[in-house]
Amino acid sequence: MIEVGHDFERMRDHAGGRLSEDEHRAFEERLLRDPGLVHEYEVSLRLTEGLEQLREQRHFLEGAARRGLGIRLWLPALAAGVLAAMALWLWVQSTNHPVLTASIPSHSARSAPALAGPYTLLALRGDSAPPDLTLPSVGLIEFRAEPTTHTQASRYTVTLTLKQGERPMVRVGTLTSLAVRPDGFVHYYADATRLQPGTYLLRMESDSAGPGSGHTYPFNLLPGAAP
Amino acid sequence: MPAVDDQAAPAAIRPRKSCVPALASDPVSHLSEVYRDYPGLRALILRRVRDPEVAADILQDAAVTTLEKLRRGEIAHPENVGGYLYRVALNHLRNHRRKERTTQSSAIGLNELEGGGDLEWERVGRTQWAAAARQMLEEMPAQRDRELLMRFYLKDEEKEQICHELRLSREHFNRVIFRARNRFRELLEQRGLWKADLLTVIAIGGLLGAVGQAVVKSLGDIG
Repeated sequence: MIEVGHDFERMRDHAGGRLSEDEHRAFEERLLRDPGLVHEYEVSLRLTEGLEQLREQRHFLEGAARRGLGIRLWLPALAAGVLAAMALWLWVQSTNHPVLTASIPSHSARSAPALAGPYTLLALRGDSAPPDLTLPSVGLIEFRAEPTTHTQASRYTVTLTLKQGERPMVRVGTLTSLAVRPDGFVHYYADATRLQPGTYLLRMESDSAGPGSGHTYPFNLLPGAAP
Repeated sequence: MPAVDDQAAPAAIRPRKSCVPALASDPVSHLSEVYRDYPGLRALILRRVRDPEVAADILQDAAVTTLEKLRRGEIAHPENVGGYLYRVALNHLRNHRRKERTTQSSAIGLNELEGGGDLEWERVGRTQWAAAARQMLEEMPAQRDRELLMRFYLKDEEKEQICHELRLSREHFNRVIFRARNRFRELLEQRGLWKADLLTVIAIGGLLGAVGQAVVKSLGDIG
């Protein structure tokens, strides 16, 4: 009968010649008496040799290399993503003007900013490709989104986020307490100089119904020609 | 309320009946079983002496000695002929190493094993053991458990150190080793490599004929 744990070490150390002379003798005396120990020792020797062969075949190293390669691939991508997100966040935060506004800013109105759009965002049934919209280099983009018909709220919150492939989405801006205009749409404006080409998601939710009640409108912003 | 850990390894293992080789009726069969059933011993000797010919000589001498003792009834527990073979082979190995220390002849053997000794390792069954070990490792769900095995069996690290650095209990350590060994044994059995290493049998087939006849003759002379 072998003692699990203790004998695992004994067998390993005997095979490696690490036992003292007395310990060697005692272990081999036990081999004489205990067929089970002989059997387990055979397992140990074969397992060790098998693992040794794998090491010589660089099986473990390859495994480590594969893991290392994986790390080498995704770690820079993750770092780049974090840096990009931080840069975008700092860029958004560092400016005085918000990306989204509920109306044309007064100083911009006086200087008659370029106004692109309005782009109308509608909730459609079924899957459809996000529309491609042109991102001007300057000015404002006017969006208008139709509230989903089942909501009766008079105030809405819109949140614009930028998708970055597999990386986490970046929240670009949020507007709250937006009212539906007489044309039946909620209007808002985005500063084109603060946006970058990419895929965006506009989420519009009823203030009274709370999160989860709204609708998401995806769209792509494609770089436009310089003015 | 006491908890029951049905995943725990038992504290001790009783030998399975199937692991005790049945006694064969003639010395040649016995010798064949010795080579067939204890390739681990053969691998151990080969690793120690690093010379396939010397390893074969040591094991052969041990097998002949064991069979002679068996024939004379000098083995107290014939059902454990394997244990006796181990004991004799390890004694022969020690004697060889004592001689080796005085003659310093191991360098050539080491070169032979590392360069042209691959076939000898294949005969022992090492390639098949590696395949089983690879499958066993791939089936292990936790990287930590694979690391445990590698550190224990290949780097010869102490159990306490491994448990400390991997933040494992001794029970968990024992469980991992116990399961890995059992799975490894199962895989060898499934591949038919536990009791009979075909390559080994083929490789020693020719040798056994001559040696067996010599043993029978010498035992007949003694009788």
